[in-house]
Formats: sequence, C-alpha cells, structure tokens
Amino acid sequence: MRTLVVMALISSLVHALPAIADDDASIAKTPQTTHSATVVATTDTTPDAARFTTDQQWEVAGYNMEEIIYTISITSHDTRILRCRTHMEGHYLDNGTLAAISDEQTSTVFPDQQVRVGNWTGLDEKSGATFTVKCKAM
Amino acid sequence: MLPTTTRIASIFLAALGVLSCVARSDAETRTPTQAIVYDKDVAALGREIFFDRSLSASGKMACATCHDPNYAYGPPPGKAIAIGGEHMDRVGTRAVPSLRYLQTIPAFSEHMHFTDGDVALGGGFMWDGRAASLHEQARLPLLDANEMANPDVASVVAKLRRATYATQFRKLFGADVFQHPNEAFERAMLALEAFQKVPQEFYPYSSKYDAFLRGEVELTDAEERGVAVFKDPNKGNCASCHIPVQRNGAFPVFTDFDYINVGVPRNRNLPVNDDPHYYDLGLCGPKRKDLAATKEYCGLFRAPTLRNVALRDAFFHNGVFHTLREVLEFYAERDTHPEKWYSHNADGSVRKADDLPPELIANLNVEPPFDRKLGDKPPMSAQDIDDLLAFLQTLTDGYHVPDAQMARDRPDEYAWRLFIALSTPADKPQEPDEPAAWERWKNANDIYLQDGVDPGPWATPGDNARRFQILTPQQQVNARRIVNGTMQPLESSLATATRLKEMRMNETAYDYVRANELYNVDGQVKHLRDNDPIAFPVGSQEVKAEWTLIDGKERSKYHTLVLKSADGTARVFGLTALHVMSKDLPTWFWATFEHVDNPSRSNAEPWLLRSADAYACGSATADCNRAPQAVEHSVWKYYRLRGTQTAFVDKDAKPTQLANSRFESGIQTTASCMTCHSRASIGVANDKPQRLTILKQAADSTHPSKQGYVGEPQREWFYEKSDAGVERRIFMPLDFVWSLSKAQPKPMFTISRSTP
Repeated sequence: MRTLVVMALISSLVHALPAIADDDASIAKTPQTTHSATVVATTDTTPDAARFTTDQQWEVAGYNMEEIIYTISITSHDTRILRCRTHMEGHYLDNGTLAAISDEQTSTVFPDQQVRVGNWTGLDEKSGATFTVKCKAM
Repeated sequence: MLPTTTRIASIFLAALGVLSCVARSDAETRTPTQAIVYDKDVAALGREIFFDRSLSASGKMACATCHDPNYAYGPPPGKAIAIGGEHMDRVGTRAVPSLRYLQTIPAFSEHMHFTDGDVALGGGFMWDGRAASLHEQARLPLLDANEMANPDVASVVAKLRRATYATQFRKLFGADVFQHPNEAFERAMLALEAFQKVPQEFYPYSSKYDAFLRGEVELTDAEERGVAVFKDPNKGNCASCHIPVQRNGAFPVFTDFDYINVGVPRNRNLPVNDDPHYYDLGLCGPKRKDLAATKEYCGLFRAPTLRNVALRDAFFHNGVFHTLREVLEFYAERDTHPEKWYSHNADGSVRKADDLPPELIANLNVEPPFDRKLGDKPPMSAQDIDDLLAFLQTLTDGYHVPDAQMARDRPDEYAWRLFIALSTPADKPQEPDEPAAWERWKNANDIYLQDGVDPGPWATPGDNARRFQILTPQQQVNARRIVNGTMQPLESSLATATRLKEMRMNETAYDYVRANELYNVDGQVKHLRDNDPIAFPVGSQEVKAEWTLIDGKERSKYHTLVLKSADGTARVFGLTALHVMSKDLPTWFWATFEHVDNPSRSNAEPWLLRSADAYACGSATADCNRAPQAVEHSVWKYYRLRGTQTAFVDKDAKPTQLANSRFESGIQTTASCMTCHSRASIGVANDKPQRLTILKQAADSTHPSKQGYVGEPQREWFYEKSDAGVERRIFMPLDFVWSLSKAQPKPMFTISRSTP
C-alpha cells in the first residue's frame, strides 16, 4: 500500500521470484501501475542468462522523512557477478507543469546480493514511473 | 518539568538587561581620587567580601553565614540568632533579617511622609533604623562583638589586605588604598553596597505574586482569599504596614518602612534575656543610642518586608516565633487570648507585652487586628489564617510560571523563552560560535545506532563525525535528484553539502527512550505487541535544526557552526531553521523559528504562512516580522518565530497550521506539525515493521504530489476493522516523536506471529 513505508529490512524479507534469462542479457520491466512494491521476473529463459529479480518502491524517506523516493533494487540469484543497466522513466512537477524525466544507472551485483540501483527524489508519485533492467553475467 | 526552561530564560533575559545598562569599568586607570561608580566589577568585589570568612575575628563567619543566598539572604534554618564573636561563642540578641528588598529604604526620619498622608517615623536600616544606608549597615556586623567581632576598622582592613581579592581591590580603588585604612574600609563597604544592589540577587521580584501582578499566573482560591484577609482592615489589616500594591509602576516591597510595637512576647531562649532588667526596645536602645530618651519610641521596630517571609524559621526582632502560623495566630489572638502568648505575673495574671517594661505598655499598637478585647472573637478565623498562609507563600522568590500554563495561555512568549533557554548556555550570555544548549543534547545519529544497540547513558560521548547525515546509510547509495531537468547525483558529502540537518533530544526524553528500549525497532514493536502506550514524560524536548552554508560576511547575523574539512578548509554554516517540540502539554508544545533572511535565499520558498507572533508584535493576527525586545542585543534578533501550535484545530474547528519554509518546503500550505507528528508510529505488516507516512498523495494531479496532513488525527490511521466490525490496532503512536522512526532493528529481528 502507498500508505505504508517499508523499512530497511525489505531486502532481507522480500520473497523474490527466480529470473529467467536469454543469451545476452536478462530484462525486467515494471508494469504501469507503480504504486506498490512489485517483484518482476525477467523474460529471459536461456540457460546462461543472468538470474535476478527486481523490486521497485515509493518511499517517504530522507533525513526528515519528507522526501518521496523512488527506488529500484536488483537481487541476484546467480553464482556469477552481474553487470546491470537500469533505465528509469518518470515525471516531475516543474513549476506546476508535469514534465518527463529519465535516468540510467549501471550497477554491479555480486552473487546472491541485492543492490539498490537508484534512489530517485523529486519524482511525481501519482504519475508513476517505469523501468527496465538489463543484466549480464560477467 | 522545566521550570528549567523559564528559569534559564529568565537568567538570560536578566543578563541581557544587566549587560545593556552597566558601563564597563576602566579599572586599570582608576585612582582613589576618582569618582567610584557602581559597576559590575565593584559589585563582583563586594560579592567576594560578602562571602569571605577571613574578615571575621574568628575566621569562621562571613556576611553570608547569616545572610544565606539560599534563604533570600536571610538566616538559614536554625541560625536566625547568630552565634559569633572571636571564639564563635557569643549569641546575638536579634534575629537576622533578610537583606533582600532593602534597595528603596530611605534613611531614618521621625517625619517621614507616607503615601496615605501620614507623617511619622520611618526608614533606616537594621531593626531600629540606626544605619542610614546599605554601606553604613554593612559595617555594623563587621564590628559587632557578637558577630564578626573585629575590634576596629584597621583590623578589617588588615584582613582585606591579605585577602585573595586584594589585588582586585587595589585595581579598583588604587594601588595605595590599603595605606589609608579608613578609606579602604569605606571602599569595602561601598563594594558590599554595590553587591547588595545587584537586582537578580537582592531584588529579583520573582515570586508568584510578582507573576500574578504581571498577569502571568492566577492565584489559587486560597491565595486570593488570603489577599483579601491581608487587606481587610477588620481582619489581618496587614496591608496597612506591609503595602501590597504597585505604586508608580514599582512592584511592592510589602513594607512602608514604618515603625510599630506589636508587643512581641519575650524570647526566653535568648541568653541576654536571662537578665530580667534587659529589654530590647528598638528605637530607644540599647543598640541605638540617639533616641534613648524618647520613651514613646520604646519598643518600636521597623516593619520588615514580607517578601520571602515563608523561608524564615524565626520571626520578629527577637526570633521568638518559629512558624509563620504562630505569628498569624499571635496577631489574631494577642488581645483575645493573651494567656497563650505571654508569661504570668506572680499573682497568676497575664503579663501582656512581657518584653516591654510595664511602664511602656502604652506604646503597644492597638490598631486592627490588635483592637479586640479579652474574650472577643479573634479578628481572623482558622480558615483566614490558612488562607493568609497560602498567600504569604506566594511572596517567595524563585517562582516559575508553570510551563504548561504559559505554553497554553501565551504560546508565543513561551516559544521565545524556550528558544532563548535552548539557544543559550545556562550560566552565561551567548558568545559567538558557542554551541547552544540544545547542541549539547543527544544527536539522533548517536541514539539510533546500527543494529539497534543501546546508545548508553546520557554522558556517553557522541560521535561528531556522524553529527550530520544527509541521508540514512541505505539511502546514500546512488541517491539522485532533479537538477535543471536532469537527474544528478544527490550531494551527500559533508565536504560539499550546503544544507545540514540534525535532530536532538534532551536528557529527559533520552532517558525515556533508553528505559523503554525505543532506540531500536524491536523495542518499539514490543510496545505495539504489548499494547503498551508510549508516553514521553513532561519535560521531554526535541529540536530539529537546519544549518545553511553562509558567506563569511553574513556571520554576525547568524548563530554559526564552523565545519573543517580534512584538508583544513573551514566552512561556516548559519542556523537557518529550528523546530522545537516540548512536552509541556499532552500533545506537546510546538514552535518553529527561521532566520529572517530565509525567504530571500536562492532557490528558497517564500513564507507561505504568515508569521504569527503576539509576543514580538503585540498581536497574533498581524504578519509579524520582528523579534522581541528581549533578544535585541543578541544574534537571536535575526530570527523569527513563524508560529506555535498547541491544538490540532482552532476554536472554529478549523485545522491549525504551522510550517517552516526550510523543513516543509513544498508543503507549507498543508503543513501541521502536530498532525504530521501524530502519525509517528510503529506497525507491522507482512512481517515487516512499518510506519505511517508523513505525506499523502494529492487528491488530483493538478496539485503537487506532496501534501501534509492537517487537523485531528484519525482513528482509522491506527486501527483497522475486520469484516465482523472488530477493531484491531495496526499502528502504535510514538507520542509524536518522529525521530524514533530512525531506529534500526537488531540483527536477529523477528516478529512474532501473534502480533496484533
């Protein structure tokens, strides 16, 4: 629920789905509805594909708990190191006008570890955000 | 709690006043021939002399031995009749008076003009008015054989010459001052007088009755009835001598300096009274000599101030009574039941006024309440006396208006008092860059530690390196924000940060956090699981501060903080915003302050709510851009109270609002400190600890996405109903303390399935 702020323990408590990968890279996409934490499986089913899951979430956080932060995390279920590229698209209010914005982040995910690839502030939660994650085993 | 708050604020305010009106001395160049002006250096020397036991023949008695500052410069318990002398074996003959509120006593006169038109005896220091001034009075105990027992002036000066403050004495009064004993002695008396004119020490006007006169507090029913008895000419009639009303703006000293013979019973515990022919007759001797022949003055003593009378345990000039109740009963029954108070003659009859020679009985005062006859009904009932006692208790200095009352009735004034108290070291005026009192409180980053470990006792040193954390550790990873339409890394390095924030709590709050293990998630969840409400004790306080990088040229306008980088570069930050929450009321007291220049900062929001400050501007309705007079000599004059909050809604049930443009940027118009903090909570869902959010989603996309909560907290925030209509608590309020949400879980955190 939007009204609940998930605490720091989320990484250890998420029950992730195993990833399915293709030859080159595994890809994860978010659905358009972005107001709840969602775990999305990759679509890659090839045997050597990177195995990972992703999660995204809107949090109220920051030092004074006054920032809305959009976060994406990647959890590796692989024995290899993964190299991931995350593309995020969202919106923000520029003097009252809704404007589009995107960002890309590259991250390294070690075996069976989780990383937060981005903590984006200033996005308009109501407009939602989407992302894709591509990971490749190193 | 904190009477501390108002107490510290009062000290600060008083200090400001003193510093602003006292000229600095130029001690180095002063010579004995120059005029000596009252100033704080002379007063400070007077203090040294006042507390110096070496000035007595015994070496054991100082002025302060009998005039104890803890008892309004009157006698400490059991010491009203001084024991002194060279060998500390001589018992005094009179009770030690308080030295407070003597500042307006005129010199003795047989023809003093009273405000009611009377011309009569009045004025003078000591019980018999024989000293014309404070410095004349000061010399008497030094030379009294029963007290400090110096044989002469020269012996006092010889002691002064050896005193630890002799150098300062010479600096103030001339290098050769001790070569002229009479002059040196007079200078010492002058210094004592200067000390005795320090307002905070000797006429603080800090009693509850003073607060009442200032309109700061109401008297209780009993106290009000006591005032009525005090003033009633047919009951206590106390007000006829102990004037209780303000005159020309001056607060009353509860005496008109008049002389009266009330027929105080003889104190047979005084050794001097072992001599049946000895009588202490006040104006006509034996201590005073000049009026010995004026028999109608015999037995008259000056009416003392009643301020701080409740601190005494010996009353009247001979200290015969030891409780205030006894004194009042004596007033009520001196004439109706004299057998209760006086000794008996050989024939068994009562010897009324037995501390007067029989031939002087006509000098006895017979005005109310002493106008009754034997067997009459006393002028004051037991209830009257109880009420009078209640009132007299209000004359004791050191009263502090209850914080809760001031917070509720005069919130803006209370906010400033709180601000000053928290911003200023308790014992001295603010120095530039000196940490404010709240900066010595526990930083939230030293309370909510990794793995939820116990942060230790209050005295545990904090880690200055983690004073400022711009984001919590898990959020520092790849934090990004929008700058000019693109996503940029969020600046998180202290070395480059331009805005820093911190939260701190005082010891009362901290002790509660520790005692209830609220410093970790596990402890908070336990409160939820046990349905054990969290309720911080009265006196708990928390602040949230923002510091902004400022130009060095602006430094004089800010309370500042200098941060040094590893390379030695110093960066100056100015305090730009301060939220204060204080547990004076069940829902806390809320105030927020900002630097006056905040709206003109680059990329800053304007102040979207008016600054409401009835204390600084005299009206709660106008938009106030002023600091109160009390801070005009300090850096705090550049700060503004943006407003206070003591209720969720106003009298028209309209939600109250309070915002700080720095902390509530983007949500100022939907901000309410109280409502926001009411959502500070702990819950559990899907085995994960949860919090209610601070912000809510806008109702439609035409508004900014961030909005605050205003108005009364909603029950459904904390409870959910099952389909059967059964309520279940889902969030436990954290008693408005949002900083608790920074708590971390213990490493092996688990949540019981039985969690409600």
